[in-house]
Amino acid sequence: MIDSTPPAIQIIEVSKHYRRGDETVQVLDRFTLTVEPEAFVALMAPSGSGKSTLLNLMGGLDRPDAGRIVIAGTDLATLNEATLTRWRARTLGFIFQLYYLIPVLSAARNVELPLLLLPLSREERHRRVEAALTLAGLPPERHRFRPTELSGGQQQRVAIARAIVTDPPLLLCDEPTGDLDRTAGDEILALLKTLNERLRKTIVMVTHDPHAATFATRRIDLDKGLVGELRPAS
Amino acid sequence: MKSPLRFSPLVLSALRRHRLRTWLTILSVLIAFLLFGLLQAIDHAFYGGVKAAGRRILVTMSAESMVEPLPRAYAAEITTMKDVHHVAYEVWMGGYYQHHNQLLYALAVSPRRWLAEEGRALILPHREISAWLKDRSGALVGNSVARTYGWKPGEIVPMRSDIWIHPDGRNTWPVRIDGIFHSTKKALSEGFLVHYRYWNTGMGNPNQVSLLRVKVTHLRDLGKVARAIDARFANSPHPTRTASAQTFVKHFINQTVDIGVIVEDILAAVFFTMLLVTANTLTRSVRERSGEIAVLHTQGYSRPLIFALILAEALILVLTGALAGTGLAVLIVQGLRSTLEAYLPYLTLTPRTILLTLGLSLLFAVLSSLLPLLQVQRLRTVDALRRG
Amino acid sequence: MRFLRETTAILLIGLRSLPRRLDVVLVAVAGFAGVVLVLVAVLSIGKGFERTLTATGVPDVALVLRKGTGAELSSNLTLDDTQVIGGEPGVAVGLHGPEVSPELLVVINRRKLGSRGESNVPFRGVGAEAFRLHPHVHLVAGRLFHPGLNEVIVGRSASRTFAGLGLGDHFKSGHLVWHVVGLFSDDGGVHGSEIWTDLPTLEGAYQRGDNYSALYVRLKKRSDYARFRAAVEKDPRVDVRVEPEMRYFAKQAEGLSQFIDGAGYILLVLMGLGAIFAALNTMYAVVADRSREIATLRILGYARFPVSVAVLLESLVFAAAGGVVGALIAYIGFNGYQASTMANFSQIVFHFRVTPGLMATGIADALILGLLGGLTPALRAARRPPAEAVRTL
Repeated sequence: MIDSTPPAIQIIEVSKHYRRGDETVQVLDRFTLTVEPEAFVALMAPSGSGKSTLLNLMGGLDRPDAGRIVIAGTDLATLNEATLTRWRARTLGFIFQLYYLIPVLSAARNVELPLLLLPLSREERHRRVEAALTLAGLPPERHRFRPTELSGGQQQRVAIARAIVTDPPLLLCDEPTGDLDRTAGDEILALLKTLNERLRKTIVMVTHDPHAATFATRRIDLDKGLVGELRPAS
Repeated sequence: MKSPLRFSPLVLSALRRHRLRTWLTILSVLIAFLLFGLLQAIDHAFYGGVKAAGRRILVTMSAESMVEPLPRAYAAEITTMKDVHHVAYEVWMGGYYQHHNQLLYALAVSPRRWLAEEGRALILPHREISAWLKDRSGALVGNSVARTYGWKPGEIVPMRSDIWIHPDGRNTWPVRIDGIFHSTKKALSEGFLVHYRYWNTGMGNPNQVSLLRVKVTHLRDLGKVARAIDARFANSPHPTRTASAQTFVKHFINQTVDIGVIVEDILAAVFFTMLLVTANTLTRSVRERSGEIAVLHTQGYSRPLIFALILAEALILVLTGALAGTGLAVLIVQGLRSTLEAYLPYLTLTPRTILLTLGLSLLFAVLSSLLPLLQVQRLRTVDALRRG
Repeated sequence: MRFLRETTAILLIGLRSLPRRLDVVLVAVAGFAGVVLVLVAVLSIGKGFERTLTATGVPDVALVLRKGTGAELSSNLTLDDTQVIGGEPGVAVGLHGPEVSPELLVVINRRKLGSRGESNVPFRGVGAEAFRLHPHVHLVAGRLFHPGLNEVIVGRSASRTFAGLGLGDHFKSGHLVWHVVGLFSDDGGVHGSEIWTDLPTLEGAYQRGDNYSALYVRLKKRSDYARFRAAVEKDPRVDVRVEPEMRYFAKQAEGLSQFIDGAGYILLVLMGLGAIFAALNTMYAVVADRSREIATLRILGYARFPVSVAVLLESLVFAAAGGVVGALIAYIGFNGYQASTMANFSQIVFHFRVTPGLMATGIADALILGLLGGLTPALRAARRPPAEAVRTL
């Protein structure tokens, strides 16, 4: 690895709190984390510890109270709402526990959604959608199915295809196997591992499942409050 | 105490779940009932006169048309008939003041006959009455019309007529204002009464009347007397058509425009639409809470109780809107009344209308909760819990 | 381009998911349709009445009435009056002398079909000149009346509205029985509400001698009106007023038209408010239903503004659909709907007119309501942070 490449993700002294009713919840307190390019990081934490908040901050969906977030050399604080939106479309793929597919659109149409933002011809979009779905391992005869006609594992494959169709360098996954059984979950994790190894995607995966973490190249345990020690994965 | 009110926090929390939606729904209902109130007031403004027309009064006119005159002698003849209490007659003057749009509801009447019937409803100094009785070209006018044109007793007013030529060959009839009266009957406050003799003198075709007002002795004889009058003159040169005063007023208004039908149609459209809106709000609210409702069910809440809770929710939504809408309608009508009194003396919201509104809002609440009730009926607790 | 693609994509997703939230959508559409239906229906009354009265008469005919009278029914002219006026300057002269038509108007009671009450149907006595002075009037069935035989022809509108006025019918008025021998049309004008007979016959029946209600006068040229009017008003032999025929009839429509326009717009404002509340409710519901979709799209990189525009467009689509449905129901239900009203103590039959312009007005009003009802929900949809929307799913 060449040293001049900036880290994929740098989280520097980030704090974030929420108000819940009258209560203030300090989710992050001067939190620091660095993720190298082409890493596959599993962030391990119990529910409610603020890992989704962390993921939202990395994705630019939320802004920190203090500290800096630098993704692939771009300081998110320097982007306004509109440029942040465009930056997100170019740089990031999101994968959720509940897939968040649009139920009225077919699998292929769902995958096409991010491509509509780019100046591509219809043929080019079609080609990329098919490639992404094939890569994600959805059988070709199912490309025209609606999400409700697919199994959970297949829906997550569609979501992954949607996340990689614009070829972003970074994938953020929030409990991607949380709603799947062990077999389907393992297939998805294997797919993510392949994406990391073959396509050199940097992947940050939040999970509470130690088994899922074994697929990653690095495991970080975030305990209560996320303050302090980061132990590198063994 | 097992007061049903102990469930009120439950119902209120359901309404508070989506405050904005609750308010928007209440406002829709408010608008519907505001429209209802205003249209009822207008309806009453047109048809209020029907009720005000005396119940024991018959109106006799020419069978040919309402503009065709009848001989005055008919009055004396009808007076002799059985079950007839009193007969008055009048000539429609077609009067106006200066311009055609300043209509005067001017009638030429026999003063004594007219006062015998209407005198009790008038409030004015006795000397003004005696002055009018002696003054052949004098007039007795209602306070409302006198105020409109600023007339004072003793003033001479040039009344013009659209129909009758004064014996001097012009259409202006000079009239002295002998008295200005207040009346307990709203319609009379626009009245303008001159002597029949004043009109009759110098008419090329004298001793005619526009219509006769026949008062019967007993209400039950109304139909019988009407038929007897028409039968009596059926073969004369001037056959008559007699109807109750209320029917007469109603038909006259219906000839101008059948307000009732239009008002009903519009209201039907408005209510149907608003019903949809309210029913939809409740349906959504129930659907969102299907989990909670299932939980209530497992806690021993019976279906009828859950129905009652939803109905209570509907009642609060609808009654709030209906009361506010009706209240607003009352305020608006009261505000308009002073300006429009001259044209629409019966513009008002009657207690009956307000009661009707209450009844209607109850019906509205029940109808709009039918759909959500059906939904609860179909709700299977197990499914709802899984979804919730 | 990108903006268009984004907006279209969001709008299409919204429209595709319509069946899933059909109930909410139908309520919104019904709300708009209700407003437009009522508005268009009410305004079509005024339009129809106005049309009937403005379609009456021709530009080069003047109407002469007794001074001080507002209408034909209360006016009275003598044979002398008509002869003097026929000789005034500006009056067109034909083969048979001045082109004037003395006419007598009375009203008779007829039962209105479908109701119990009696109505005042105008009954006009005319001479042969009348058909030249009222060129719109033409026979459509049967034949013309023969003088002196108590025969009448009936306007088509009157024939359809009042009992006993069909072709071949006999009807009784007073002691006389009249025979309907023909039907005529006035091309949508007022005379279509009338019964016509021979002038001397009507004068005899009503013991009017040589008295008339009005004199219709054809002018040599339309521009001769001022000259004719000045001459008549200065003439000491007659005491009459002159008015262009078309203005006389058009004026009668003013009161009702103003009343209906006023009432129509008050209704529009009130019902419009109701529709806006309903639309707001619907669109907030739509935004709530779609919050997951919208959040997902925002995370995928869709910008705020297209989200707002798409939600607003959806509201406008509902409004347009409701507007079209309301206008069409109004058209099917009310266009040509026959009604009658009383002006100057005589019935005028007219037809509600749902014109394309009126329908367009209704739809445009619905769009305005849709815009007002969709605006704040559209802004809310875009303003909600996607992270929050995802979290609360």
